Order: sequence, then structure tokens, then C-alpha cells
Amino acid sequence: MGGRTSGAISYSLAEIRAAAGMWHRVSPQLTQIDAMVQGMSVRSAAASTDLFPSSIVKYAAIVANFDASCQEGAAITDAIGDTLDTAVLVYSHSEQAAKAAAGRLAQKIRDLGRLP
Amino acid sequence: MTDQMPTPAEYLAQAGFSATTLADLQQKVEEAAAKIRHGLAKAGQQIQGWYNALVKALTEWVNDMWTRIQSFWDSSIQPWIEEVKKIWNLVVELVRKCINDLRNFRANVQLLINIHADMLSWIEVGQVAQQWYQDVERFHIDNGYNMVGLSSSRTWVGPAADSYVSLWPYQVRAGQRLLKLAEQNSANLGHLLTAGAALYVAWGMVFLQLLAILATDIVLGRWLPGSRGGGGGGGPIPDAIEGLSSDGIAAAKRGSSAGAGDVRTLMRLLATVAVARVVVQKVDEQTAAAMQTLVANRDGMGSGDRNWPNPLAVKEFMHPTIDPNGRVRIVAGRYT
Repeated sequence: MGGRTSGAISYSLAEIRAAAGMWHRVSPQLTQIDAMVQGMSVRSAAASTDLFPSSIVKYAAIVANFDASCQEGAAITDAIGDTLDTAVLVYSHSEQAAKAAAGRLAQKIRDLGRLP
Repeated sequence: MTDQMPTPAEYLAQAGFSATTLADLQQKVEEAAAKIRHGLAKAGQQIQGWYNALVKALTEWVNDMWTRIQSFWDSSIQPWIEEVKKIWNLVVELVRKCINDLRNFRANVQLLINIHADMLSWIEVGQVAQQWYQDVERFHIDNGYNMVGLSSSRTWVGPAADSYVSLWPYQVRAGQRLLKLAEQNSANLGHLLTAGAALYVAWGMVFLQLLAILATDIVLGRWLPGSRGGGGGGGPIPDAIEGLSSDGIAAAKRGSSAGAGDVRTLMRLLATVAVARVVVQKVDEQTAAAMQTLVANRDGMGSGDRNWPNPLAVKEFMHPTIDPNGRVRIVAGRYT
């Protein structure tokens, strides 16, 4: 695979970069799922009816939970990709770029704490 | 000459009784009187005893009966009355809900339409979620991330790689959780839709029956004056009936043509509506319980995670750090 070895560590930049790319590729799909869920209409129609009072309350809670899962999932998977990107920069000894990437990643991780 | 009544002693003396005989007689009379008094006293005591026994028996019987009545009331009548009250309250609640169903007809039907749309959307969401987790899983298996450390054929090994290999499967589980939620939501909405549709189909049958009765009225009341058809009711009403005023006959002709059969059908259909309403309520309760389980589902997540497993919050997971020399390093596991 054309990797490099440093002590007990060996790595292939191509491998790690491919993994990072995969996470960046799948992250928006969670945002897309979230958009689909937010477009659903039962919650808005439920306010004016009492046909299924108990279920609709629970359903609203599930949808809210699902929304939050997708939003957090999109942010977390993107941040996993960023972590791998940073690792590529570190392993390729791009010091300045790695520092900048590490700073951005730290900010993203802090932002994760403020997600719904 | 004056007639004087003799005293009893004179009378007895005249009758030839001696004083001794008289004294004997008086003694015997007194003894007989004493015996009679004694007998009466004994009889009185006997009667008093019977009376007391009767009163006692009656009191015991009344008490026993009262206890039985009380017990029967407590064990049979009271619960029965409570059940009747409960059933009555249920009937009142059911009627109130049925009236609400009619009052909220438009909103409820709109809700059912939206439930159907959401149900289809959840199927689509489930498909995308399935595609998502399968893509993630396939990539990692194809590239050897399913094996740990040196057992793997990939080049990237070491603490960072191991931590990554340990935690990516939780992302797949999160995707599977999305799929499960989507599937369950779709199924639950399907249950609600079925129950709600059954309710309004039942109402629709009631209205169809009312329309049929109305149409019969119009046809038989206007096009065939003098007739009173209907499903199982009376025959034609003649223009004149002896003993009835013409106003009464006209009023009878203006009345509904609905026969007993029509009314029975209508009542059966209303009963179907009531059953459908009960089903809606039960399905609502059961679905809410199933949804509660879904809300509480945190499969694959740790206590520090909120809505998605977050490996970045795990200190052993690979992360960049700046060493004392100002150089960026990737650390993981016990090297943290």
C-alpha cells in the first residue's frame, strides 16, 4: 500500500484520506434526511384535532429526537472526517496547515456541545 | 208486703246447706280460683316465653336478612351500580368524541391525509438511512477497518488507527437506529391511519344511509303523492281516512318514508361508528405506548452522548494535540 512506518505506527496517507473523504461524503446525507423529516406535516395538522391525542404527542417527541439525531450526526461525522484530515496533515508534516486544521477542529468540537 | 232478696247465706240456708257445707264450698271455690289463677299465670308465662322466642327469632331473621341484603348490596348491587356508572360515563365520553369527530371532520380528515403522507415519507427516510449506514459499513469492511491492529491488512496501524477501528461501528449503529425509527414510525402511522380511516368509513356509511332515506322521501313523497313506501314500514296513505282530519293525513304524508328496516340499518351503522371510535381510542393508547419505547431507545449510545454517538467526546479517540515544542501530534488511547 506504500505506507510509512514510524515506531509502532505505520500509516498510509491515501488510506486515511479515503476514510476522511468517505465521512465528508456521507455527512450531508444526514442533513438531507433531516430536511425530509422537517418537511413532514403531521405535527402541524395535529394542533387542530384530538383524533389521536396521545400518539401525536409522542410522535412529535420522536420527530424532534430524530431531527436532533440527524443534525448531531451530520456535525459529528463531518468532524470525524476533519479529524482524519488533520491526521493526514500531521503525518505529512504540514505543520502550519495541521495547526490551522487542529484549531478549526477544536472549534467544531466545542460547537458540538451547543447542538440541540 | 215487701219482697227482699235473700243474701247468699240465707239463700243457701233456705236451700238446705249447712254452715259447714257452705264453708267447704267456699274453700273449694277459693281453691279452684287459686288453681285458675295459677294456670293463668303459667299460661301467661308460657305465652310470654313464646312471644319472647318469636321476637328473638324474628329479630335474628331480620338481622340475618339485613346482613344478607347488605352483603348482597356490597358484593352484587354496589359493584353493578359502579359498573353501570362507568359504562354510562364511557357512553357519554364516546358520544362526546363522536360529536367531536363530526365537528372536527375537516381537520381530522386532513390529519389522516397528512399521516398517510408522513407514512410514505418515513419509508423514504428509512431507505436513505439504510443506504447511509450500508455505505459507511461497506467502506470500512472493504478497507480492512473491521480488523484490529496488526491483524488487519491495511497499512494504517497504531493507537490512533485502533481507536478509530473501535469506534466507527457505533456510527453504523446510529444509522441503523435511524432506519429502525423510520420503520417503526411508518408502522405506527399505518396503525393510526387504519383506525382513523375505519372511523370515517363508518361515518360515511351512516351518511349514505341517511342520503338513501332522504332520496326515498323525495321520490315517494313528491313524485308519488299519496304513497308511503320505505323499506319495511306501512303501505300507501289514502287521501281520506275516516276519523282523521285532512290536516292529519297531510302531515302523515309529509313524514319520513323511512321504514323500520331503514331505521334498524341506521342504528346498526351508528353502532359500527361507536365501535370504530373505541378502536381509534385503543389504537391511540397502544401506539403512544409503542412510541414511548421508541423515544427512550438509545441503542449504541453512551451516557455522555445526546442524540448521536460522539467519538470526539471519548478521550481515547484519536485527536490532534500540540506538544510542548509547538508541534501538532495525533494522540489516542493510553498515549493520550
